[in-house]
Amino acid sequence: MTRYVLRRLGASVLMLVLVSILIFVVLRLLPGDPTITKVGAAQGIDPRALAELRGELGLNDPIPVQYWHWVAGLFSGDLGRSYFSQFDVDVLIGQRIGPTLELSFAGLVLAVILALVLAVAPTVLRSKWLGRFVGGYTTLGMAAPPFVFGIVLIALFTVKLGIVGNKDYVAPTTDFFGNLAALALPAITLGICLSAPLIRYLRASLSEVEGSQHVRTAVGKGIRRRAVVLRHVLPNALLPALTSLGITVGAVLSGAVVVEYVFRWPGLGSLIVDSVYKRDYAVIQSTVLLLAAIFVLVNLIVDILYGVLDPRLRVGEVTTA
Amino acid sequence: MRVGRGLAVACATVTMAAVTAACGGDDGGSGGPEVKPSADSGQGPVKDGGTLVFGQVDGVTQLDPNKISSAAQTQLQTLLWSGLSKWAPDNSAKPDLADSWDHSPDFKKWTFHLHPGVKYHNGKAFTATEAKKNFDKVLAPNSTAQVAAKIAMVQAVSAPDPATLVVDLKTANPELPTDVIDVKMTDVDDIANVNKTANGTGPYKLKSFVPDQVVELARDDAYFGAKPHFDGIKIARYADATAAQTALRSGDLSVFGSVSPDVVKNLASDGRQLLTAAEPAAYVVWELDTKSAPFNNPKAREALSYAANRDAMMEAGYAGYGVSTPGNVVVNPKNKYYDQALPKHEFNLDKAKQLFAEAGVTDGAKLTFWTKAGSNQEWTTIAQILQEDLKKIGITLDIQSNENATWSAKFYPKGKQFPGMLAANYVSFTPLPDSYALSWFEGSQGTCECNWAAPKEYNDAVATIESTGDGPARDAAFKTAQQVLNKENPIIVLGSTAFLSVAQGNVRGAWVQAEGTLHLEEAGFAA
Amino acid sequence: MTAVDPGASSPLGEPEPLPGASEQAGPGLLKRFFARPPAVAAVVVLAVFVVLAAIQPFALQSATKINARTKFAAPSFAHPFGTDELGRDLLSRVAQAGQLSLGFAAGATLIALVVGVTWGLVAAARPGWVDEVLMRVAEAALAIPTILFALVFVAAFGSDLVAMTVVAGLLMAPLTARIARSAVLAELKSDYVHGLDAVGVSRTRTLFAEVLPNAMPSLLAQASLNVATSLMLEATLSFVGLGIQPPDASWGTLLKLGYDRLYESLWYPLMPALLIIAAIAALNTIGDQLQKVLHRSGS
Repeated sequence: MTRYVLRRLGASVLMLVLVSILIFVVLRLLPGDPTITKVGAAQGIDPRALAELRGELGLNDPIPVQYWHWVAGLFSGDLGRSYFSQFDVDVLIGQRIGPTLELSFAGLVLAVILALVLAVAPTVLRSKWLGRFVGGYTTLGMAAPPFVFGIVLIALFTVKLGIVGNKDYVAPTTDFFGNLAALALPAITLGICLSAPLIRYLRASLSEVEGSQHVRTAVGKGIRRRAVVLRHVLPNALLPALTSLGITVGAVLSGAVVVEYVFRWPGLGSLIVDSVYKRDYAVIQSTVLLLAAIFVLVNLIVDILYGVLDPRLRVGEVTTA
Repeated sequence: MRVGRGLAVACATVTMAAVTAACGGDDGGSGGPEVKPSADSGQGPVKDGGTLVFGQVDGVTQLDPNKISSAAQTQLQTLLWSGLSKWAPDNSAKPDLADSWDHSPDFKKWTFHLHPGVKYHNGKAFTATEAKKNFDKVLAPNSTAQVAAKIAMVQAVSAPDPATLVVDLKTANPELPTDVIDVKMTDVDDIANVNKTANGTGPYKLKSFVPDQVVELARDDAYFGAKPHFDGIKIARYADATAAQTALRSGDLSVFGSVSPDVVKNLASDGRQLLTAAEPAAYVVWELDTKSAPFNNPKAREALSYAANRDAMMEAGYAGYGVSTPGNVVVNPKNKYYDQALPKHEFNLDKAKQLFAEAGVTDGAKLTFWTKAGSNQEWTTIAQILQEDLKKIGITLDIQSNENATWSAKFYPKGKQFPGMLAANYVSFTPLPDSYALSWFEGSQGTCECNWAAPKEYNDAVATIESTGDGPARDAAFKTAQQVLNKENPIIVLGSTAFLSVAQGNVRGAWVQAEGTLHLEEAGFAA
Repeated sequence: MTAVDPGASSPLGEPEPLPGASEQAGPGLLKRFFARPPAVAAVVVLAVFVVLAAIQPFALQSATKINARTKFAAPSFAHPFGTDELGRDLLSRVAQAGQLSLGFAAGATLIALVVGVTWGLVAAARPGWVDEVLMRVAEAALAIPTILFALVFVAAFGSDLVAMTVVAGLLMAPLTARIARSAVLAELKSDYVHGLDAVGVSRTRTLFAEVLPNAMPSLLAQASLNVATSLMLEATLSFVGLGIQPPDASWGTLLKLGYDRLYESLWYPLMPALLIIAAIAALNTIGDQLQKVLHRSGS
């Protein structure tokens, strides 16, 4: 077991190193010049001042040196500093990570609830009509980009009916109910998007378990169908569905990026999008790496958990993602 | 790119005259704006208290007032900080940190008498020595302050006593009090913390700042001037118009700056007011590289000026909230110093074709239109009009949109080569008689990205304007400079426009400066 | 944008495929695919979009003609989808945007297919450290959500269409490589390959002449999903303003432009949104159905 964990850990670290190099090298191919955006392209600035600014920002060092500075900084807890706001990147991330975690968590919880209900209901109720509805829901959910739901919700509830405003984010510590009001639409949007693939996994896994020997035995014994599904089928179907959790976390992160943008949610997603606009290397590289690290970490945990729950996997080939 | 440029005038009068003036000019009779704007919000009694929420498309990235990096930041300039002087709505300078000033007869030595007992928001006393530190920082060789170009003639700044600041100039400058407005005073010794504390002397102090998202200000009860009305001001980012509209309708937003012209009609209803400069001093321009083909040939530049259907562009791109500038100069046709005799470059494709041909730009030629992605969509709109028109005379216009950094890196700063390219830009100046709009093109000091080598006649005229006070000599020089620009066309000026802002009906005392800034420092909610 | 290449042959995982068996399996597969109503519906939807995009320059009104007087019009006989903020016909705009969106997706998928198949083929054909290294790299690339890498690449190369197509193609290549590798490995284990080995046909020849064509159906199923993925990626990037830039318009760009003017016209964002969803749903369906047909015939 220890060897298995260590091997997975090693692979994850190696992966992050590769990712960091990739991010860094790609960003250094930028055609734009961050110093120009920094001072604004207004008239009247001396080119020499710009050159000096490049030096100050360390943009004149050779690329390996710049990479080394970055990595060394990461280990000493220094994620770099925004070229624009001059804020330390860890401060910027600190300002934004709370809202992102809140939205991701709320979206994930909603998605899991939606998925459980919608995947199990047709089986329990034996409703063909409901099964079709859920089928349509998943097809739509898999096909629509996350922000489309956001637009539909805004168009319907805000623009057309004027019920819920697309409220500004408020910290829960300042105004708990204000925070919930602001969270509602983005969390529902994210929840719907995430639920579609989850339902697919669950339904596939459910039908597999349903056909298995011990379930047929249970039904044969005359136990009520609903009880069979809830006590026997569902718990057994959840284990394989756990593997999809790693992928779902990836979907949460990418979903959050766009959903935040639509709802003006001040999280890491909007931080990245803004930084990409401005070519703020320091912020992009550290924030993307952080999200990649979260993703790799969750997958590592899922893998290890799965290894614990299902020892056969420890020897076999385990693939990520 | 409202950035920088002399913050300028404002429109003036508080009367209804200003209202009609704002969009007057002749827009060819082709359907003016749908909602009439005003240059200031309503009059009437104002109460203290309340929080004003101001929304804008771009976020504020940093707070150093002498290192402006985006137009979004200008909104804060008058709230957090003060200068020696500040703008009055009539484009003149009025006392701010300096109670008064005087000058030597030759305009080469200026003495500012500072207001006593002023403190930075961090409690440190503001003295003449502090003012000198800020001037020195702005004038340092590595400074990126845009105001540096306006006060480049400063020789030395000294503080003979805590209440007196003396500014010595290399060349005369009768307009110095307006030129120093943008030298904002902040605690230079604590500049490292400017994003956390702002450390100004303005009517509001910094409460919190999340870059690109929100800046929260609270009233400074120790402010040296008239007591500010709001308890606080929140400057929030509304990147999409839909969110801003929702917030305006629900009352979550008090003022939305830089509204897209095509949604104005829908927004400026239900008792909300539309605010814009009465005499806009901001211009939509296409910058050309006058050092490389084909625009090194003045005929090609003139041809382009004739190929631009300015009226159609102002209507489609600015919904009529803009004034065409067929004189092709960066002076509003309504400005008193505008040379009314300037020949107009009326839309004329035949003439454009002929001039292009003379410059060697013939059938099948290809030009590039270089514009910004994400913001300033109206530049793309007017580019499409030009594209359709140029197609008729056999010239292909390739429109390329790029995000900010890539867009600016192509032609900025001065000295870049960008052959065959029209770089869309937005420049704002203090209206005349401030000389900055014209000196921007000047040979040695000017920083126009067009790389134009101005003829001696032009440089002489600008020198005269800069060193001469009010009088016939200066008026004549203004006209000469405009005539040269009209003939040489170093850049193409399409129209004079200003940002449109929508405010709730209960916002009083806000006013718009010609260059576009909405002044909120004296505003309050209706009692 | 065909879902099935008629020349494609023996489905993956057929227990004992024999050389020459592919000739009969190909048309059979196609027949079984089109016997499924969802598959037919999906192909029809996609075909409509492709045709609409293709005929736009000839059969529809101008997508660029500005008419400030008819802006934000609701659907009418003259403008079946309504008009945009400059009074341009939205049907034409959407059709024109389809050229860009579908072209982008097709280009990216092609790149993903070429790079991914080569990658997977080499890995499958060279077991040992080559395979190990190639698959580890694929895993590392797959470990990160596509959108994050896409954002980094856009930061580096800007919103250039060609660059974005290449980037999207490369981002989808690792997954394609994995699918290709397992499909090829499955084929390599089959008896007909052993048979070819026995009669002395070279491995390279076997790979290209026999194995690859046989693995094609499962690669096509993946390709169909890749087209869907790239449509989604393009729409997302364009929507956050980092993709196709006006005046060029993709479905994502139009959706963004429409969304900004929701208060002026609900139709404006609705049309591109419907097209995006319908196209992606159709492509997902084609991929799924293709896989179902393959698996059914295999068992």
